Amino acid sequence: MDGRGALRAFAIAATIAAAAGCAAPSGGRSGAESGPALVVALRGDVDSWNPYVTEDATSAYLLDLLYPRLVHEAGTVGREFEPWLAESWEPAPDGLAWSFHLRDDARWSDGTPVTCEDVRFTFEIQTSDDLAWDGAFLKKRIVGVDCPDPHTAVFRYSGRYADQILDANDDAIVPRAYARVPLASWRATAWETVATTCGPFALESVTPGQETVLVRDPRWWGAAGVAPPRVVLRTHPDVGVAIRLLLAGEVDVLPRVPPRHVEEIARSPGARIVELPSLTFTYIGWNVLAPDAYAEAIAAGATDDADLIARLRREHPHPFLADSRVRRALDLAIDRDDLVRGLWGGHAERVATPILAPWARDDAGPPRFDPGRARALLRDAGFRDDDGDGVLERGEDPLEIRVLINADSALRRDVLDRIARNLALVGVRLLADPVPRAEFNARARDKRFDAILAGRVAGTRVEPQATLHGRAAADRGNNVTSWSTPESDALLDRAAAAPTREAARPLWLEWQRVFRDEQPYSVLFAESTIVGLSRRVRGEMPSSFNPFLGLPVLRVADDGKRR
Amino acid sequence: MPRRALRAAATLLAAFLLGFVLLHAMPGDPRDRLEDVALPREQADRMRRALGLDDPLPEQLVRTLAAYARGELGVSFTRHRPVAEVLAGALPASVALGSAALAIAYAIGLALALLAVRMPEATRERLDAVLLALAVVPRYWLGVLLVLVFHAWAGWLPASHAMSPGGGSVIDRLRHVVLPALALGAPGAAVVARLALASMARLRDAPHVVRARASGERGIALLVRHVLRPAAAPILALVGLDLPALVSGAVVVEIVFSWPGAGRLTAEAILAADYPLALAGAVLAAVAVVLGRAVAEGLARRLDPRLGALSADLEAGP
Repeated sequence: MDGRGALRAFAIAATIAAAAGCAAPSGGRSGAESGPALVVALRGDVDSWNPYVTEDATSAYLLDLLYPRLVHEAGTVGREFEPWLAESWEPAPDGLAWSFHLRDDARWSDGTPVTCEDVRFTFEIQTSDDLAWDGAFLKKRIVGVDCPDPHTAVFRYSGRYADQILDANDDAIVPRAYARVPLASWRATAWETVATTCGPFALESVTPGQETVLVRDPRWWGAAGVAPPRVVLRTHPDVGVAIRLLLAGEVDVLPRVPPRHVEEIARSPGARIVELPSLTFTYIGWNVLAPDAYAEAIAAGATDDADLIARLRREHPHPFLADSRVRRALDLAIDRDDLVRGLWGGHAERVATPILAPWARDDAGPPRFDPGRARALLRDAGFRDDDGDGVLERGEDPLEIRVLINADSALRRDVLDRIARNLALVGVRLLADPVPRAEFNARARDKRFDAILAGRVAGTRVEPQATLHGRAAADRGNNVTSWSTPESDALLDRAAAAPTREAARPLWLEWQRVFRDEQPYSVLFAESTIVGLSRRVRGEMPSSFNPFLGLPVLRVADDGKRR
Repeated sequence: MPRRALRAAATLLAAFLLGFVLLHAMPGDPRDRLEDVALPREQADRMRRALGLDDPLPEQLVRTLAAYARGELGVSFTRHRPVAEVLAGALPASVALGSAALAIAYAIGLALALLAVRMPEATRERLDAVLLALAVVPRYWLGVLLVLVFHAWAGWLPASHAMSPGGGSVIDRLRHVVLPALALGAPGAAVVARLALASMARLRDAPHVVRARASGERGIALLVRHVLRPAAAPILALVGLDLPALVSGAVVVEIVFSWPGAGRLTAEAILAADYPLALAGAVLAAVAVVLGRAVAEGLARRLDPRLGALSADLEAGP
């Protein structure tokens, strides 16, 4: 680890130590009132204060401030995990179990200790059909959780594999006291009225549509590392207004600044920006099926499985996107530098595959923007511009591709506009097909598109099999573009079953070679999380995938200027 | 009276049915509100079943209608709590903003009309053109302008929310309501002023006003007693018609000012395909329309008893 890496690891450890140090058994709120509150702008209310009910990504990140996990996923090569609720962890000699040793001074906000029984209760609700948690598939290889003593949680697995800690660590630990609410009622419960938390802040008040106030709990052993006495989460549905208030010093933190506003904030004397990794990527998926084939088959009563997709690929291939030469040509004709510089002001990274976790990604980088080679590949595939209109044809069919995009995202429109200009240079007409999000998702599920522009949170987990395996549908995944090959599927299976990351890494590297050859997606860039901070904010946010985990170290200068 | 009650019930039922059908006719459904484009079909289907959306639409309609009859509005798909609780949380802010906007519209509108009615014809016409422009100005634009002038430049008033971070005093809350109420009420003030001015201009030289003037009455007192009061019936009837805006007519202003009202709530619910919350918001707006109409009719009858007699005759039938 280099010097910056060590510093970052220390900062994360300090933050998480503060965040994870659950409360001592008793005490008041001494010191909780000193200094101004940290005001954070959010687009909407937190939809639920229970991490197994929330369906909103921002809310889920925020709840990491209130509920602990076993470990923090740092995602740094050589030091993947930092302590959180667990101070240490080790595998059993046969690799079929991992023991997590929990802090003995951790307390819930009602004063009860955090123990292995909470961890076991959390596992039980995660796998319960009554709750139907959408991450339940992450637990499919965990057999059970044992509690040899109150502060040791032993996860037993059906086999040895590389991501055992990740599977144990997803998601937050909730108190077993929540068992008093029947699981069937969890999605209809106002959890802010019964929340029992264990994080650097406790929930003080919720005013729907306006704000939520979190208060530092000085009983925590890590309270000395928590700077703001209060965090006020203000709801601002209009991001333009939130930015105005940030620049005026009335909002201290804007956790996700749209890239088109980054320069405005960076230039302003009233605010600054901080760039954090997000492990989120944007891609264009190329449908290898004729756009209506899948929906018609499902409507006719077919079952969504690997056999159906294989049959449709044979009988109803997409007229040109089923050809890997065309997909590779399209990828070569996309200028990723233009996207990263022009749209993100450099606050994004050019990538080429959906694997972003540092330990598994290859170092080859994306292909060079090469319109000449793209034209040659398209010629190989039989495309010519016989009528001289600038658009290639094969037979009677012009090379025209409609790209499904979420009309709610101005950024996606901008991305597509730039790519359309790139592809026009090689004779491809790219047309936007913008629809509202609900329709976007419905059409994506029915595979009714030529191509789809979308984003995905890759996280530290390496799991392309959920979206690119031939049997994805049978394994609680969704292969949206229907591409797969026997070679790719075999590599995905072997990598997922590899006993260690060291054993899995060469398999992931090989799979990424196959992905580059076939190019089922054009992965465009991995965007950073841009956080806007007012000039009144002191302290440096540690590099974390979750921007909210940096809030405990931020302090607001009391200059008396807030109106 | 029974006929009016029946009419109100029919209006509410129509709003319910129309809302239900339109919401379910929208492309996509609640399982598609999530950001994950790769949501597995199995998971999506499980969500549909859990939300009761797998049943035939007529069955869902009857079930929802029966629940409404029992006073149960369901559970919000996006806020994970009873809809009645969610709406109850937003209504006070909506009523506060709507009431302030109505007060501004009528206070400023009537004051302007009283001032303008004594102006020369040419000046009145120019003022009328300005009022017409104000009446049609987009509220979003007006809201942003008010924020720029009174918040960003002058620094006099807050630009968002119903209170300062961490809570506020009564004065603090009053300061927060000024700008959104102005954005919502100023175009209404222009409408009220134009309507009042037109009515008052007609009455200004009516025989009873000439007689009052001849008996020595002058100035504002004369205008209020002999011109404004007879002209008030159609103006005050507008109050009733404006009532729905208290509940749902302020969506854009609520978004610009981050105001936690029912209009913004309903709009967000529609976009998220949160059927229970969106439907309840639509029905609530219909209730406001029915109430508004009743208020308008009541005011009109009170100000002109002839309307009450006519209405009673019509209800009694031939």
